[in-house]
Amino acid sequence: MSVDEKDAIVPGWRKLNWLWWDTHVINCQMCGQMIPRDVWVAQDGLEFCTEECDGLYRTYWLPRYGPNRK
Amino acid sequence: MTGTPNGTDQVTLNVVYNRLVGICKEMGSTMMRAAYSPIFSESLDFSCVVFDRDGVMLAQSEFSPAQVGAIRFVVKWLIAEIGDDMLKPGDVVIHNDPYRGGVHMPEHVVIKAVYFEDEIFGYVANIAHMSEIGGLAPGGFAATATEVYQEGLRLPPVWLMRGGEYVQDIWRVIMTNHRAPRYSWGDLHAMLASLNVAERRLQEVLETYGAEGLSTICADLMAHAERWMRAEIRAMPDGEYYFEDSISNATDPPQEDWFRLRVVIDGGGVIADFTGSDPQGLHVMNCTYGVTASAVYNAVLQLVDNDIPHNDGVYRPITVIAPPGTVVNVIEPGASVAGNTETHPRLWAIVLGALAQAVPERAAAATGGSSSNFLFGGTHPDTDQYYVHYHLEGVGWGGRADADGNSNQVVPNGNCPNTPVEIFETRYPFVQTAYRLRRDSGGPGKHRGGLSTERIMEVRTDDITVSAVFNGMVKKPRGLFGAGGGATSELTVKRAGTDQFLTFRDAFGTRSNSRFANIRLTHGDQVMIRTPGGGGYGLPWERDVELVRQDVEEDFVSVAAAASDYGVVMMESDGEFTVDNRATAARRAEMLAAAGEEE
Repeated sequence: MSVDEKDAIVPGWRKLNWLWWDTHVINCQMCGQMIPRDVWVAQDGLEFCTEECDGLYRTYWLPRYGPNRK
Repeated sequence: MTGTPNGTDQVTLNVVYNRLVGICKEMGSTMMRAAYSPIFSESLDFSCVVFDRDGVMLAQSEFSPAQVGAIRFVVKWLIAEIGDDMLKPGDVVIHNDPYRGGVHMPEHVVIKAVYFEDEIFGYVANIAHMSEIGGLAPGGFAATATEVYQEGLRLPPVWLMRGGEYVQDIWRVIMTNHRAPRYSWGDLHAMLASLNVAERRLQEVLETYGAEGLSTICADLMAHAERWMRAEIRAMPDGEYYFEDSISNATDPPQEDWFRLRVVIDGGGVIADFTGSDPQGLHVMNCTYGVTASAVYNAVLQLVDNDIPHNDGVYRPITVIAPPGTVVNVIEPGASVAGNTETHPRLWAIVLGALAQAVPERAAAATGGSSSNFLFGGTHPDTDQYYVHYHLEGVGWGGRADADGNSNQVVPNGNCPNTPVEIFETRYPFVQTAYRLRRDSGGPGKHRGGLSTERIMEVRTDDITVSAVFNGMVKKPRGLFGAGGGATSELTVKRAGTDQFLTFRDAFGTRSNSRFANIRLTHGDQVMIRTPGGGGYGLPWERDVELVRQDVEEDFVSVAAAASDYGVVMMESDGEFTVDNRATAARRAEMLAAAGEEE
């Protein structure tokens, strides 16, 4: 289960639509925290727990570990 | 005025904060008095917390600091997952899912919504280490597990109580899967009792201030804590600090998992970034996100003012990056039961190792870093009932800039007293034949590492099943700034009728000496536990000569180690120890010269 694909490229908050019997979890792609219900989907489709993590990904993580790191 | 957003005065902030903390402490007292298992009543392995209606932590009592980071997340995520509209008065929700913010499978969180004037004001919660949860080995520590399914009964968020009534299906599942259901029944009721006490007390506070008034004060309390914390961090030098270390499995050859940490201090905020740490392993040392966050919080809190209120505000300046699927953030189906007891103190030491570069005067050397978990169970010969016990031991703590490390204390993240000998022998068929400090176990340094312990226990029953998870058996706990490491841990067994202690690998063919499960012992077998010592701080030959002499007199340090490690040459006469000043000066000059050549 994940975010509806048609919405995935539009940045914004999405609700995870868990089925009652599905008990697995997903994690924020920046900090690693569990995302229990609301997920922030970034412009490139990455899923974060908050907008702050989206920002951290771009200002902290990419410059250090991304393909164009210095 | 306190400069808080709503202008709550300092007196009111203090009064309300202490009332909230008092609620948490009363929860703990209830747990301690009502529990069936020593891990609650003696070891206090639980934490009690009050939250607002969004799951934001208002106050806590850290009986076990290992859980502080976890419970900050676990309740918020639980409420978000199930939805507060699904709750009604008298409901209690339980879960122990390590992937949902828990610290490891034995820790069960229970939460109850607190209503005021027909609305949810907030939640009271308790996270506690249950002594038996089924799974591969008695005692809830499946030491050789490679996946979560071997670690015991895993509960996703489910209702334990509905409207104050038992949800009997869940209780029957729990009682069927735990080896000692009578204890689980009693301990779960102790947890429920603590929630009921907290519910009443929080409602009393609400009667005084009203929901809106209390919310306003709590918002100011959190802003106050955050501002204070940021000021403390701002006082540390900005910069990036890197540190790495590993844990080892005492196999032949030893297996290692590496943890890599970059700490960024920048203008009142801290980022603890574990990117680059090893992938999660097929073992129990993996950490959940909650464990890793707790380790970071505990380390940072050690370096700042003790008086900062411990609510959500104090944690806001700290960001923890723990990539999923690694040893610092296990994902399904990875095992993780010892991540909280063994890896947590190592992570804590790694954070301090990084921060020691920024604030060397406040950091400490590594602690013994192992809860030295020894688990056992069986049918008691006196009662014919199944018993289990989770035994933990004290270790040496690391030396500090201004003091030696503490001796025989459980790892700092655990803060759990161990079970007194009298309780131990009354309840379980083991007799203690020795329990003492280990000479020369503290890492040599200007400030010596704390001493660890040695305990020998003899089996007094025909059949007992034991398991263990230790750390620090391969690598010494690290010293800081030129000091030596603490002693490594040892776990050995002497079979009845023999005269030699052997490792469990030599005696039983276990793959590892530090992690094994389900070894059966019998009458007369003896187990010896030697825990790891703390690392030292600063150059050993700079330790005050008189302190070394006192250490020898107290039997903390041997005459030989005084000379070889500290450069203090001693002479003994009729039990009196005196220092040979000339030989000491020469020996210390040699050590200094040798250190200079190494550099």
